[in-house]
Amino acid sequence: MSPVLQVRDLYLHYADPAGTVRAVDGVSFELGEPGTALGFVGESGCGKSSAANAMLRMLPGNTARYDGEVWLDGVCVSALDAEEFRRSVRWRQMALVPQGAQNSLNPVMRVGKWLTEPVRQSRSADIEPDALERQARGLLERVGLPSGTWNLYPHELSGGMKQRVMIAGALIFSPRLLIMDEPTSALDVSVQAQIMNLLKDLKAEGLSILFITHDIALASDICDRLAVVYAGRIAEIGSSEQILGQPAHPYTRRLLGSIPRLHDEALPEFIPGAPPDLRKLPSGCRFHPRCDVPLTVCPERVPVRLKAESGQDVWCWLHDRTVNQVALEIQDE
Amino acid sequence: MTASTEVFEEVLVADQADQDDRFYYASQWSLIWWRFRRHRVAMVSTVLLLLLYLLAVLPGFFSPYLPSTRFESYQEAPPVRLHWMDKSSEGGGFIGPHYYGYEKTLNKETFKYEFEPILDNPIRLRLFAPGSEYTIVGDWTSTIHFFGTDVEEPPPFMLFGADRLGRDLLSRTLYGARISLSIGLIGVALSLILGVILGGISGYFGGLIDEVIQRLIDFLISIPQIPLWMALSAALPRDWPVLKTYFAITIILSILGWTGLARVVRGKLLSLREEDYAMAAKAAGTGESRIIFKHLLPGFTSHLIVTVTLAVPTMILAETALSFLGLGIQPPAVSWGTLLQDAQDIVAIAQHPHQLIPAAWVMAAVLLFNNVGDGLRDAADPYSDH
Ligand SMILES: Nc1ncnc2c1ncn2[C@@H]1O[C@H](COP(=O)(O)OP(=O)(O)OP(=O)(O)O)[C@@H](O)[C@H]1O
Ligand code: SF4
Ligand SMILES: [Mg+2]
Repeated sequence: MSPVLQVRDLYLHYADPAGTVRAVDGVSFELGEPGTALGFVGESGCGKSSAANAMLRMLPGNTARYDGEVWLDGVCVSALDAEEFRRSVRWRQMALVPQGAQNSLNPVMRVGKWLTEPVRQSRSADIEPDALERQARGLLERVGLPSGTWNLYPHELSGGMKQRVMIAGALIFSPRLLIMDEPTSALDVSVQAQIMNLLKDLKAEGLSILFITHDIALASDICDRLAVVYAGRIAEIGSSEQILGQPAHPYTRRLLGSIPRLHDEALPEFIPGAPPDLRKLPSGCRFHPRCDVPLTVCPERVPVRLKAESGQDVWCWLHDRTVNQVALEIQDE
Repeated sequence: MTASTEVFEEVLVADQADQDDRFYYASQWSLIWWRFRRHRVAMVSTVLLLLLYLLAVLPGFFSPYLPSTRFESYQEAPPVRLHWMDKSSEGGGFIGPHYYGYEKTLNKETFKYEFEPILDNPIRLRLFAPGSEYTIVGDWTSTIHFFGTDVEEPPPFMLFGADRLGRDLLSRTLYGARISLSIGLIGVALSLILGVILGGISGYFGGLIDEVIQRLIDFLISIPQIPLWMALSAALPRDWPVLKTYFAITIILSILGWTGLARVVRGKLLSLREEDYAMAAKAAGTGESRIIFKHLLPGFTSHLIVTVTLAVPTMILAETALSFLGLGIQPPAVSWGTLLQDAQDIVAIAQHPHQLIPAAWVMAAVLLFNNVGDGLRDAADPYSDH
């Protein structure tokens, strides 16, 4: 069976007066079986939201390069023209709950109207208004909201309620894939837990989720697989056990080391150096200025996809058995 | 599971909603209406404005004569006074609303005609009296007027006096209101359509198309208005029928009027399209035009309504100015502007100040619109206290 989602060589660069911002720079990954979740983890500004927008072809005016293929259930949706893509892919097959879902509800639309609006706008929709309302009300109930929410305006909802309305809205066309961009970053811990539980339930029902967050601990709670993103590229991708148990990339190790632990004598470490400027990226491995175990080859050659001992894919020369030989060759030249 | 354990926050909100249902569920529009109703001046102005438009819709019924009816011997007669108490020599008591005919005499010293009421012959007025036939709309005619008299061949009752040709100024003002007040509305409606579409495209898409529309607006604004209007309306053929001239003038006025509205719409959309909810609508597969008109525009309709209300008086003034200069509506059609043409001569005004009465109507209409607009602005402002 073809994977639910397959992304190949995705690029999204922005034009900027200070230079091209390489926000997504050759990202490839796969979300295999239905009902699984892939976590997209990385520091702020590493291009996670840009990757989500690129998958949905939501390109700002200053897009400098947009490239790559997105396959859904074995169909290359990137080949569709813009109008067809808008009508048949967005929200229907692949629903994005954007970052800042707190403000993603229209302030002058009641919840009920907002929920059903995407269905009503499609002219082809032969769905009865009554049936549509029943379905939408059912979704509100499904995400744990009281039926009175139907008539409320967004400013009358709490942050958690808004996030639920967004999720209910994203489910209106029963998409195969839900992309959640930082779904809980503005919520307090208890509400965050409620949303996570809701997502787990949805996942158990067969929904595939791409979960974008800067919080690796939160991602590990729900995700079967994790992709660690650094400066517009994937550094390491594998099962949650592999990434958390035997991280293969020095950046992942640092990232895990920076999580504060309860009753731990050691203070959480922070990653030295500043997050890279996507306009002026370091040569070779993008992490080399901050890496604690760099090799001589690192500043010179961009790492290729390698298999770590624990089985995950990693982009780091440390895992290349011939790396010393390569390094020697370079010195020879 | 999740749904049942975490309803506490929702219950809280639901409780609040029950307590103050009316306010809590109130739509933006009911909130605006509640605040507007408490704005005295604006409310009174709204009622008066509606009355004014009622007069303008049914000028035939409210005016005693046709605008073209001439009373040869009453040229430039001053306003006839309305009386309640009998002024004749033997009378003196209350006899209801009535007036007295004029006797016209030539003053031998100044060589001017003078009008003196003939006090021994009161002519009683009554409501819904028969008079000359007028058309209401299309082929539908009537002879019943709002007020009139049953007396056979009465002297004319000219509450605002007569113009140079002896026509009733009240009737002419009411018929003029039809053109002057409707041109304001239709002109602004046209400007609104142009402004929303062009401003919407400009603000939402940005880039080159925005640049082009903005330069066009700059160009239109940089041309001095009055000369441009004059040039355009001077280009209209004189022999066009009234209706055609009327629409041509309306279009000329809105060609310049849309620029302001387009700027408002563009400015709003420029900021709103960056809002998360516009992005979310896009992520939901909503088309561009639907995002503009269904998702973003409703966010500032109240703002637009205020702008539009405040734009109407400008239109009315513009029409008046054009017609006053003889470039707008052409006689025999009547608008407030053409009526004021009679008041162009300072000597005429000094001798017959009643010729300025149409100007008072223009001022009243403009002030009323401004009051309503101010009231709406206050009511639509979410930060004004309620
Ligand atoms: N339209 C744009 N034009 C220029 N640069 C942009 C644009 N959008 C985003 N960027 C830049 O691209 C980089 C990646 O942004 P993105 O929003 O994808 O990061 P992110 O990983 O989602 O961060 P966060 O965790 O803070 O949401 C940032 O440096 C940002 O400043
Ligand atoms: S490739 Fe080199 S610099 Fe990059 S993470 Fe691996 S060891 Fe560090
Ligand atoms: Mg982001």
